[in-house]
This record gives sequence, C-alpha cells and structure tokens, in this order.
Amino acid sequence: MLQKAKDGLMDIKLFRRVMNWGKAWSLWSVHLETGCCGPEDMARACARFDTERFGTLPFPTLRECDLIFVTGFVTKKMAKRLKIVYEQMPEPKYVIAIGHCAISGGLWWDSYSVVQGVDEIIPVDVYVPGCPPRPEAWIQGIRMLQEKIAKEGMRKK
Amino acid sequence: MIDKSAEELIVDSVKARFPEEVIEAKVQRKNRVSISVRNNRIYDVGLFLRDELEFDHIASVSGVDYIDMNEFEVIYYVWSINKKVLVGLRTKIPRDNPVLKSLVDVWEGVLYHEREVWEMFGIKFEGHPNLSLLLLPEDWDGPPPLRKDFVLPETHQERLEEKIKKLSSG
Repeated sequence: MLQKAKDGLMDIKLFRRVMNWGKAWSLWSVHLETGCCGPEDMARACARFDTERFGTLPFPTLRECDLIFVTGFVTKKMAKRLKIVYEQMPEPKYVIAIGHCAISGGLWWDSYSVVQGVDEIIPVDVYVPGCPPRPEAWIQGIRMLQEKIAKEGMRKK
Repeated sequence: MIDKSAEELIVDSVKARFPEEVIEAKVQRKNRVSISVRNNRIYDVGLFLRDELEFDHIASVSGVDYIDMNEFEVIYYVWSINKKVLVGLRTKIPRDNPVLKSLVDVWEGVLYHEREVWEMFGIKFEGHPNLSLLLLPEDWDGPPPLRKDFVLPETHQERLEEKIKKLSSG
C-alpha cells in the first residue's frame, strides 16, 4: 500500500524532480581513502575549494552517506573492504572513480596486487581522470553526477 | 696517534670479536657502516651489536634476490641512538634452501619486518613466532611476489590481454 502510494507519487514529475533535487544536493561522501589522491580529497573538502557549497560533505559514518570517492589505487586486499563499505551504504548510492589508478589500474596495472579499475568491483557513475586530478576537476565530477541524478527517472513515459 | 671515528671503532671491534665470520666490514660514509657476515653466526653478531655496541633500534629488514648467483641477501638496518650510526648487517643465504635464524630474541622490532620479508621473498625465519601474511591478501596462494622469477598467474594474464584487446578495438 505504502509502496503503491510512493510509486504513484513518483509518477508525478514534480515530485520526482523535487526528490532528485534533494538527492543531488546532499551527496555526503564516505571518509575512505584507498590511495594517494587522498590529500586532494582533503584539499577539496577544506575551506579553499569547499565542496560543501555543492552539498558534498565528508562524513565519518557510512550509514548516512550517498557517495564514495575511490581515491587512487585499489589493491586486492582493499577491494574486499571497499565492497563491504559499498554494500553497507543505504540506497541511493553513487561512486566517483578519482585518478588514473582507480579508473584503469594506473602505473602498476600489471602487478600482483592491483585491481585494474574499480569498476571491476563496484559500479561507477563518474570517472575523473588525472594524476591526481585537481580539486576543480573533483568539483566538475560532482557537478556531472548532480546532472546525472537530476535526469534520474525523468525519461519514463 | 690519530683518534679513530666512532664508525671505524665499530668496524674494528666487530672484526676483532668475529675474525672468522665477518666477510667484510667497512665504513661507507659518515654514520653508515656495512657489515657482511656468514649466515650461521648472524644471531651472535646481532647480540654483540646490541649488548656491547649499543645498537638498540631496528630500523628495517629487507631482502635482495640475486638470481644469477643463486642467493638471497637479508639486510638488517640497525640504529644506535647514542652513537648516531646506522649499521647494515648483511648475510647471504642459498636460494634453494632459504632458512635463517630469526633475530626476534635480539630485537623484538623485527617481528613485522621479518614477516614482510617472509611473504615477499619466501625466506623462512627459524624461531619467528608468527609467520603469517601481513600485506598480501588473506587468500594469497601464489609464490612470493618479489622474487625475480615471479610471473603473474595465468588467469591474471588472460584477463589483462582481454582488457587490452577490448581497449584497442573500441
């Protein structure tokens, strides 16, 4: 019954738009650094670049987060932990792969311990290339994700 | 008579105490000493360095794979906080039977370093209480990855080739 009512509401474009707007502007990110793009993560979160302007606030508990920045190398040992973190997050959840290492494995892509791209483990929404990408590129990635979220479910009918 | 530096005194005393076992002992530069010993007496040399020459801080343990000479080299880097000298205590072991007496009883700090050398080179440290995987994934079952003759597992190679094919075609 409740589900039916919810679906019915979502059929109305205005509600859908309001919900997407809420999702897009409150993308709290998990505090999880897998590699050395981590300092860039701190830079974009701090006062100078301040991505909280776009609603992206680094947050320590993953139960209240919607976004993972995969920052840099994912080793096979870390891959399992990353998957656990991803699975524990409630829907909706989004992933941004940051840097060459997270996208394709980077410099040591053919080594014994590196996963060739984080998209082998969890689905990725936006790729931000760079080594490391500057905070402006992070902001562009966040904006692209927001545009993507704004279109969610809008093509229906 | 010219006064000898702290480094030269260390070299002289080690040579005098272990004339048979020390293959080479030299001063590399200021504050750096290198001592090569035979692998059967490395424990005693370590004990001597700790008790009589005040070498009390183990900085690192590393391994080298000399595949052409069919040998491994294990290097213990030990600091003396009083003398401000770093000693590289080197020993070579055969590649076919890589077993070395653990120096855990001498410096307890080698616990983690020896574990790392064990998992990366497959050098077995006798007397080490816990030789288990430290940095590698828990389900690792391949050969030690930092050996020179290590090749990636076949499944890994195949997946790489598939990915390259996919990228180059599209």
